Amino acid sequence: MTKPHKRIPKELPTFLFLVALCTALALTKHSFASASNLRTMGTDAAAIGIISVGMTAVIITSGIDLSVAAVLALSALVGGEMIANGHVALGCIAALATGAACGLLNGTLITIGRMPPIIATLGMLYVLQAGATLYSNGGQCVILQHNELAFLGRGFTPLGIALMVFAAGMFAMKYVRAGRYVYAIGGNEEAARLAGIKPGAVKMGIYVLSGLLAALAGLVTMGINSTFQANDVVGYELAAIAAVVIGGTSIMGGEGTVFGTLIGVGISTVLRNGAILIGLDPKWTQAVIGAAILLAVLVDRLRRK
Amino acid sequence: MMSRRLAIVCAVLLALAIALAGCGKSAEKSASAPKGKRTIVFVFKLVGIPYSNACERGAQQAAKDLGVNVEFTGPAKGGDVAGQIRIIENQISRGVDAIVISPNDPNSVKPVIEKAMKRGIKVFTWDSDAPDTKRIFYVAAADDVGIGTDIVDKLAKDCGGKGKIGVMSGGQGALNLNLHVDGVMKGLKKYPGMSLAKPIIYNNDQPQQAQSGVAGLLQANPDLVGIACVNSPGPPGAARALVAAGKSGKVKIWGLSMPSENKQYLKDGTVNGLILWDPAKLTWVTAKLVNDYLDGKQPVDGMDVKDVGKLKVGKNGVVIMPGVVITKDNVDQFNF
Amino acid sequence: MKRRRSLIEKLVGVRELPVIVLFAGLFIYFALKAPNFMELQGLLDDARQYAPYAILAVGLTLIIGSGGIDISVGSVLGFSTVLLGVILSRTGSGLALAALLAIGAGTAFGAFNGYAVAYLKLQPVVVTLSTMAAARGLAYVIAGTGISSIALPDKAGWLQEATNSTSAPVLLAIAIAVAGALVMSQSALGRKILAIGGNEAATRFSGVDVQRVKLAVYAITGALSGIAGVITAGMFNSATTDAGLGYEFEAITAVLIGGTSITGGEATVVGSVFGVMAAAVLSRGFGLMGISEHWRMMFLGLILITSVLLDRVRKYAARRSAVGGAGL
Repeated sequence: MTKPHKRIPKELPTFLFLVALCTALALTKHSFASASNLRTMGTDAAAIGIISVGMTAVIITSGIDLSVAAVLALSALVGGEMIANGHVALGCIAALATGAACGLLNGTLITIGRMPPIIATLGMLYVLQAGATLYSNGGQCVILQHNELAFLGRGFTPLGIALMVFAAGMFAMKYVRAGRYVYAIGGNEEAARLAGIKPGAVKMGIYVLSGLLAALAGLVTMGINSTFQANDVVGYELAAIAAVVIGGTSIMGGEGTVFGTLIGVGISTVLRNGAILIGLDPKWTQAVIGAAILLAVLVDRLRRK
Repeated sequence: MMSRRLAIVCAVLLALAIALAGCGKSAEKSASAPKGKRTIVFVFKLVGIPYSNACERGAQQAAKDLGVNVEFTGPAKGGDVAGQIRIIENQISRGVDAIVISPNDPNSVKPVIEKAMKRGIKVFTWDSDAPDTKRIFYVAAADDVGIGTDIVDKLAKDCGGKGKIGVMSGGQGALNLNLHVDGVMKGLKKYPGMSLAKPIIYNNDQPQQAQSGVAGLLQANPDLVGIACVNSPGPPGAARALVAAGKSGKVKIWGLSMPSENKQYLKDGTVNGLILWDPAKLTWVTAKLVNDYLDGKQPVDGMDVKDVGKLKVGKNGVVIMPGVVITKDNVDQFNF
Repeated sequence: MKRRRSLIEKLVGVRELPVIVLFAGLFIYFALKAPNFMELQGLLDDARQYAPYAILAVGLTLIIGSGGIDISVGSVLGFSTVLLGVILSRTGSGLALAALLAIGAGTAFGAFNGYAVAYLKLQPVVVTLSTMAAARGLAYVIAGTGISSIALPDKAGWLQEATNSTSAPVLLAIAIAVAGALVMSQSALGRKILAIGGNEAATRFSGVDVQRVKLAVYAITGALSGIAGVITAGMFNSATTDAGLGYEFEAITAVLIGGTSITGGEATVVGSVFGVMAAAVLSRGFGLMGISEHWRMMFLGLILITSVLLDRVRKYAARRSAVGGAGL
């Protein structure tokens, strides 16, 4: 009797790529593997990493959330204003509430309004980004004079928070019922509905989660910088999508893992950091990023064959 | 299907043509700007950042002090060449008295400036120039290239003229930043004992990239002695990287940035100093000079403006107002 | 037997109606409220500024109609602009050759997108995300470190003249739009595009070479991005490395407002053009009224959300009356 052919775990190729990249860099520049560089990379990756976890779940339901960066900005500004005035705990709650509310709006447009996610969140991106600028009096900085959120931004804390979010995400997607529902809806929404799952409720929850995580990322960002301005995180949504895609999650939905996204975030962060360590001429950075995304997707395609 | 759509489209266009004929005359009679009042419009590179807001404050103050209408606008996105041209064309349509531009790209505003001047609208530049155009004069607080050299001079002094320095800019596509970087490179040549740590960090106006970029540079160049920053997020980002690496004070930072964003770092010595100017004052002075020009008065070399200082008027209509060097000793007196 | 159409369906049943009403409404409102709105030269200048977006929107309509998407159009436009500038200023080539090469480069990027989507079966959003970064990156590379703007030399004078002082860009955009509309409604290619967007598997089973059609729509869009890039270089008087930044989102917004369905199978080039025109009118109107750019962006987002919600209402009404008519 022939042995059953073992399927290659989906994250293996990208994981190997990340390992190869890190090894090459560590050999070329010893300082790559130092604790201080790890801390640098951790701080660099934290905010994008946190929103990528939410993005993974959204994309697995065959949706997308183009508004996360704007949600992050608005939440950070709303919470930041309160924190700057001395109400730290209240400010954090306000930020998270803003993120959840924006997520609720997205979810409503998508479930009750039956809008395609790409359009609903694109429209919200315009509205919330303009809203964030107008809210902050035309884009003024929120400055936390006494570094009130430094406890979130010091040392390895940002990395730690991001890793905890990833761990929670990985656990939830595998072992919590709602997590399995996410895969079911992404795979075949009708079948899921017939099986008794309520796609509307699950999707709503996923977009609210995405908004909440965006707000958390905003608080971490303010912890790192002690300041926030409406344009500080423009483009983070594309970086998150790139990380999810590089990590092997299909844009079509139904499959993919949070662990894959972690690898994807790792690859982008290592590329950014490595480019500076080896002194790569900056005119090549964008082209390299584009090539990296393409390569990752091609490798994933080959794996499927 | 196609014929029905075609019919609808034609009907709508017909309705529009009628509206055009009817409304055309009446709208043109209405005032383009508040009746009788002179209107000066500042079109900046973008709106929605602290620097542009400071400029706008200067414009608003000028409106009060000069008794004319002074407006401030610009595209919502950074680097939006097309958006800025559209906005300038709108001002031409309005028939304002003067347009003052800080162009995202000096070449691209050449045709609109010509068009405006042909219509009798006076065009000037401020903050960033479009030297190869018909603009009447340009007001700035520094020469785009010269300010880069000034930053290096300050840095060299603090570093004893020796050692490796890093350079941080914003976006690779930003012309004025590239000119500042050119100035930094020129300045470096004056100090044979100093060298450049590659690569030049581009922070794309994002604080995180500024911090991570400098952190990476420090990692690769432990012997770094200084960092020259040419855009606002630079010095605070570099400062954060130094603090995290425990190198605050050991690596010198000089840059172009707003004092309000660097207060804490200037005071604790992480940032050594900033070279800038008051954007509100710069805009105010420009508004005054433009208003005077519309009254028939040219800017004169050496003229003294209250609260600002003496203006230098050079060739090709370049007017320079004094800038400021900001250190921990005077940071508290600035409100921008 | 033809089923009865409900009132709602009758009102919004024509796909382009909402955007045409939007355009007309905005136009009339601003004609009355915005000072000097109806000045003919100003309207023409506004139209000229939006010509590149309209050209991109035509290509995007075809792609979205086929069930795909392309977020690289802005970067490809940028690359074409920079290539034109580099060739004109650093080699002896004349304008015609430079323009041809710039458009060719755009087509090449488009063909690459199409090949990856059609033959390698990669997801459009992902492929074009990578092309978006790669094309922008290559623009920086060929421009050179620290170069953000290349002034066009005198031999490009004709181009600058044509794009700045005449209505050539507008006429070109209209011609491209008419061609696009005819392709979509009268030609076999158009029918195939919509069939693929509607039900790709069924279309493939019916014998259509789906891969060739997909390759074609992306390549065509690439060529259109190249053309838009050449026009932009003329209008800006220079090749800027950040040319086209953000254009993809504005163009896609216009296409969606115009009534083309993001899921594919239903597309209207006429609608997309009206979508661009509505954006142009909004920009001019708000600008003349002194309303800040932030409010304009917010308004644009609200228009997008509302117009697509309306599309959903239309579909919902159609489904309801279909069910009702069948007596179920």
